[in-house]
Amino acid sequence: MILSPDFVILTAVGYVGLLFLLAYLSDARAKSGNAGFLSSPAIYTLSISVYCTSWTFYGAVGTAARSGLEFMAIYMGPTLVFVGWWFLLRKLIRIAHSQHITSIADFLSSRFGKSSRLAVLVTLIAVVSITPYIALQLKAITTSIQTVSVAKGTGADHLATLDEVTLALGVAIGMAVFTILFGTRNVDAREQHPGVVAAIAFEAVVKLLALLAVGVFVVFGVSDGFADIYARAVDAGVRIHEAEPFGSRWVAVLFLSACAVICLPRQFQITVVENSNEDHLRTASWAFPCYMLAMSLFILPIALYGQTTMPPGSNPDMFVLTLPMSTGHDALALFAFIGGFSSATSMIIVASIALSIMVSNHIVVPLALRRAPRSDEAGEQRDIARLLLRSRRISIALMLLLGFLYFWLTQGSDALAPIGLISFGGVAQFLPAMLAAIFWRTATMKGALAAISAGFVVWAWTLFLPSFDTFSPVVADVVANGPWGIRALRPEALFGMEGMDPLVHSVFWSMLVNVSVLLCVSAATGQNALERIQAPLFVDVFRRSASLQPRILRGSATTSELFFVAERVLGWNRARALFDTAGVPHRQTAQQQGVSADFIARLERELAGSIGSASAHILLTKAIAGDAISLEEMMQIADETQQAIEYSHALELKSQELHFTAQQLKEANALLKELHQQKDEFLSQVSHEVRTPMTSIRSFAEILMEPEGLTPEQRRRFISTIHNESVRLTKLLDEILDLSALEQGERDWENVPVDAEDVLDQAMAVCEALARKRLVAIESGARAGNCIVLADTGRLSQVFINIIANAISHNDAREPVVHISSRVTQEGYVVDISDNGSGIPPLFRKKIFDKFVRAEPDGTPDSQGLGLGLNISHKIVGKLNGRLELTAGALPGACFRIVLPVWQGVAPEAVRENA
Amino acid sequence: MPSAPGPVKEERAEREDIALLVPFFGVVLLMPPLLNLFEGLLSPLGVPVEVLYLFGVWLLVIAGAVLLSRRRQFRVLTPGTAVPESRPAVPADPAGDA
Repeated sequence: MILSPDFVILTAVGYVGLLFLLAYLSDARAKSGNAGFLSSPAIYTLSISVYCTSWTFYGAVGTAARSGLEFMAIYMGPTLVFVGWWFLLRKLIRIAHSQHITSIADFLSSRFGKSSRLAVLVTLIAVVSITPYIALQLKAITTSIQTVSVAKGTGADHLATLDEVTLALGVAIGMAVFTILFGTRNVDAREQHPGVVAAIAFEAVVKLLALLAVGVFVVFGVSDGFADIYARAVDAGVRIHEAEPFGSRWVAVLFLSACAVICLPRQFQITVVENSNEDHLRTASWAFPCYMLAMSLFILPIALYGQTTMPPGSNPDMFVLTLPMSTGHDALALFAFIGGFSSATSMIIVASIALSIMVSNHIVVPLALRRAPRSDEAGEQRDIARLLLRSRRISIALMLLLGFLYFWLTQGSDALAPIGLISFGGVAQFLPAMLAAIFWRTATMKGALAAISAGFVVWAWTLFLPSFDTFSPVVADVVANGPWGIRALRPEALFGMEGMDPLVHSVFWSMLVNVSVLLCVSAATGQNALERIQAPLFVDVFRRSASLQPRILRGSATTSELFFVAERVLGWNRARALFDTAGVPHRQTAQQQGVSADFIARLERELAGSIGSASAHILLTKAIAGDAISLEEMMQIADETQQAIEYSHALELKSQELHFTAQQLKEANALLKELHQQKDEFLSQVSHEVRTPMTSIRSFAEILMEPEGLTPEQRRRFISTIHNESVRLTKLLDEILDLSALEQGERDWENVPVDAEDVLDQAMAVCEALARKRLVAIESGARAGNCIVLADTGRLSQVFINIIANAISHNDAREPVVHISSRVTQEGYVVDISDNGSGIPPLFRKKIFDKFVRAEPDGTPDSQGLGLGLNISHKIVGKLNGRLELTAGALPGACFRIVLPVWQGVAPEAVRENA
Repeated sequence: MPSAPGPVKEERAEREDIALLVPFFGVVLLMPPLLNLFEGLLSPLGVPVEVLYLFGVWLLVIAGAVLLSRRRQFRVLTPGTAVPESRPAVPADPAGDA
């Protein structure tokens, strides 16, 4: 198979045709709302790899041959930026989505008060930096066509007669036509081009496969693996280690490539503007580094193998093509050529689209708007949408023409070789302002403008100018001796800083000047009103809600005026759709109606999506100019709104506090009510309890007042009853007093260490008489022996006696027994007092410790208790930090358990004394 | 002291600062002092160690990015439906915006 120039060029044309078809179909698909795969993270990632241009496709091998591993820094800078996406790229994309950003110039201008000056400056710098880069792609394409075809020496067919310049012109024209056809078919709401993106993604796959194919061919086809390549290189005397340790140049390249992947207009366009879903970035964060890793996997082996086998003097930049050809694999060479062609064309297409958007939005439209007098806008002014399209088409053609001119001017020099890094250095001047834009709220427009200009001047002097020295004697003289012989201003040795790598030298000085100027000027100047409005929208994009977007323009225009403006930019259909969704009438009949500020803000964002924020702002201001209020006034309104919001927030906090207090009060009230009710119940219980003995005392006393009819025997019995009843009454009152003392907290209640066993023994002795009277046997079970607890002896004894007496007096068994045992467990000192009576009925078990609760029905004749004893005992044990509970004991009846904490201290003498 | 595993784990699942780990170690490992550790050494495979080191760090950084991107807190909502609607209209700290 012979690769004639005709064949190669026709293949390239055919390939472009294929891209065309692909872009057309994808556009049609996206338009029908069926984007599907086209808006997937995979396509997004592939399109980002427009970063890998022909400079990296062909040039990486050349760089590897000349300066070893340095080419990897070009890929590692972007890798670091992408794995850190969470902090920078994510914020850029969120801002771009919320502000309808169309380009990097629009981004900076919008943040710094929609400044037109800044937008123009950024656009111009971008054009200056990128033009050589486009020229480099043209050169790569023409050189590769010549390498693939002319090398065969078949100069017979007619295309072979074309020289390099004609070829480059042809390529430039072809690219311009393709880009115009697909990049500027319409002015989109959000400058997104699904067709172009699909074509770029396809090209990304082609260039990766082509490079991998050549790599696999070199490593495994003509060699025997990686080790073999290195061994052969060593044998041939090719250096395989780095010439010198990685140093400042490596760091500089790493830094520049990291800047480039953010600030290059084409990267900003693809990564930020064309992004349809923020979440795609999450995938791209690792997938794009993977892609670059795959791209660089075989670069070193190809370079080494080329240096080992190719004749001395052959161009290492073209090893990717010449290696397959030298072994007769022309099909592989053609595939590699298509890969290189892909990487060059994708760069040209995206870069020229991005630059044309910037040129038309920030230079052409503002000029047109300023020149058009307001008075005759009604009929004569041109349709802005058409103006935009036309200016974009012209700018694309102009960009390619500039690229071609640069190529033509520098033809025959090797000035193109380092142009990639020179371009990177130029766009890197945007980085400080970009970072300030999204992280530094008080950075000012003047600061950004001055910093970018200063950085650009230093870059142009130290890096851009010296790149011309090989074909311009004047430049060569300046580089060698400084301007007018001032040696301190030599471009590559500013202020005598000699011996540095020119790239490092330039990056150092330009960044130093750039950042210093940004800091100082920002600190020295203030923000204007619009900047103060825009800054928080960028810096706090994750904190702000849409409803807080300040209204920039107040609704003082009529709907028909606004509709006229919208129609001119967006076209009638989109303008009508916008007005209809917002419910704003736009017919002639509704001419005099005002519009809400919300709608104007929305309209401005929509317009900004087409013509950039600065132009949109100018346009709307002009439309509303008749009675527009000043920005300062606006700012005041915004401030007042902010204050109102803060105030309402404070009120909200206050009301929450009040709500909480009210809740607490409610709870306290409920508690009080309950206590009150308890008190009532207690009083009625007490009166009931007091009333019964009083009634009986009264009636017996009345009987005794009758002098006759009573025997002395009867008289004595009645008096005895009165006595018994008053004793009972006294006991009741004593217990009530006792209870009240306990509830209110006794004053002279002092807990001292006492031997609880002694107290229990005493209590049993006291109850002995009652037991004997009732014929109840008291059984003493297992005992704890000595056990010291902290208690008041009298009170503890009261508890024991009360419970033992209860067990004795309420025992209804035929052979009544009361069983008492005690032990020391982990819980503390435990006393169980149980009986073999019928026990506590289930109904009473729960409230046996409440006041006036008695387990027997009221009518029981033996009913003597008042129902306060257990309640008092329960309270006392509670005060001793123990518990009194009803459990199941050894005997069938009730079993009361008293648990008291054991005293841990040591004071045996005190115990003895107290006991 | 026994720690409470529940809340600690929960907190780790929500943390966003761990996104800094990968770029930080990427930068440190790719900067000269460490980068020059293996200068001039030849691995048993015949490939210079500095080449293996560079690709190794690259793979490591990619692996770190893959792991991070799988965590729940780094999923991002589709723009447009994202922040504005799901948040209350009043910012949490108006003082911070002043």
